[in-house]
Amino acid sequence: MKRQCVFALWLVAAIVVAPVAGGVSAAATEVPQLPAPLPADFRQIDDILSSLDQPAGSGLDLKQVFSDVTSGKVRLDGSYVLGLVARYLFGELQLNTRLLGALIVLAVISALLQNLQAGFGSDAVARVAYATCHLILVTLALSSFGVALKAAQRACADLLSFMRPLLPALIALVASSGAPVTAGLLSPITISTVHVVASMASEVVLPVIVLASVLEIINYTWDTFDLSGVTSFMKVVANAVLGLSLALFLGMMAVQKAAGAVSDGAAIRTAKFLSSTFIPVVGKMFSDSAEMVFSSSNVLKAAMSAGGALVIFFVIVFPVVKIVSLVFVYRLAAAIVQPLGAKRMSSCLNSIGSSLIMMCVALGAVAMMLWVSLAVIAGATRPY
Amino acid sequence: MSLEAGGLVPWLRGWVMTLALTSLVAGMAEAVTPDGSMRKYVRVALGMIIVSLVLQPVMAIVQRVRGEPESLVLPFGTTVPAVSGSGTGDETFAARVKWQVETMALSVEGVKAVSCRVTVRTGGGAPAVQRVDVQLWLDPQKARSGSAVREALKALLSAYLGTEPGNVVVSIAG
Repeated sequence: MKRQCVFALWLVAAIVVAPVAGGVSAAATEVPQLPAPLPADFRQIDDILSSLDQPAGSGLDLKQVFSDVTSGKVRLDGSYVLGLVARYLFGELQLNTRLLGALIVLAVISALLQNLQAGFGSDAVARVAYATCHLILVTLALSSFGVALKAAQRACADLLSFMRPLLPALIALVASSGAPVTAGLLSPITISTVHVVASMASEVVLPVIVLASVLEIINYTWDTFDLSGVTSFMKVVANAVLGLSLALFLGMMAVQKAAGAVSDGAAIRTAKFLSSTFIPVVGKMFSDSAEMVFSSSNVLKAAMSAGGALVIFFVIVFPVVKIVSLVFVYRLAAAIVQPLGAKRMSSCLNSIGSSLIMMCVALGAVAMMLWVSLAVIAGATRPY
Repeated sequence: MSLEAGGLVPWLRGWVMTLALTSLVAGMAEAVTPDGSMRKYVRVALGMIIVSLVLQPVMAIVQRVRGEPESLVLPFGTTVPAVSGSGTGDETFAARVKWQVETMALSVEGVKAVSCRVTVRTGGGAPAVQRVDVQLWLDPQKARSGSAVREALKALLSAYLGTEPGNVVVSIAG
């Protein structure tokens, strides 16, 4: 109750002082401006947009795309976005054709060795030869995992550095759109939780998935000492950490927003009542114009949230497509080599594909978390 | 193996690399072992090595839960405390004496781990050791009584540091 009173007094003071400073007659005739300059510097967001990694090999210029979209040159519809993504996907697939060729050749050699093993009495030599082939596959897989991990970690870092200036600006807009309690509650919770969960996904979950996958691939080299239990346990732990932290984040955001909305309604209604009752003559006008200021801030907040969601989409879509193209290549190679009789090689290629999909899922989970946080902030409006 | 050294993920990376390399080498050794009665024993021995590696994180966690000090073998890349360099002369002297005392205590048979605090007498002239407090963790597998170890270390340290035996306090944890 004390906090609500403080906010109410603050709002009354802001409503009374602002027009006095600018001239009372001006306040009656001009379009109302935002109550105070926003504390965040929007140039930081521009800097981050211009420093985003350009997707290599696609001929795309993300900065140009953003400026075309924001200036209205290009209409951002489904076909335009799909065209961009498809162009990038085919560029990546073209880059990976050499990898596909190497995988198929390796698989053919390994199938040949397995057939020779059946033909000769002693299998030791054939097993060692198969292991040698498999180790070449391990080096190829390691380089693919390196590419995927680098792309995913880079995307996470880009998302975090984009959210760092965006969240304070959005929360300032939440406060100026008539939800100061929600803004006060969301500010520390959102920023710290977004950072903790995204850093955990980038620095713990993704490396653990890669380590488990590397162990799994090496485990296919020999059929004697099976370590598949260890690898599946590591993957389960990585998934559990990601799932739990996401659930925690979503729950906290929802509860904070719900708790803030109730207090905001009471605080704003108290402020309006106080200004219209106790300020003589012009009090009613202030309480009505406050409504308009809140709505204007709301429009600005919605626009910023939509822009933020768009940027998040463009930041993650290219790394995801890069990883998906690798998944496609490994899965295709597995499908091609299976009829040759290289059963172990085929299941190894399939497991590489599954691990890469897991990395995609982890990256998607981080992006979804940021989307949800933007949606919660965009929806954190005082109920009218 | 220490879970603290450099964070969880570098530690996990080292463990997975060790496990992967061991599994590769073990597979190779098993493949080139000639067929015969020896083969199954080789397989069991190699399997035991891999099981011990798989159990390593579990053992580290159990040790932490039981409050025992972890192994003193530092992982590769761990920074050891500096015994010289920055700091005042007295601090450098104390750090050097601490390092020496710990090294000497670990060389005594039956000592598993050691923690020590050195108090230096300052002011006027060269710094001198005023008091040494040593806490020991004994290895239960080595059949040696705590008091024997304590007396041996006390005599060794007081002789080495040139101080009264009363200034060297040795206690045994646990």
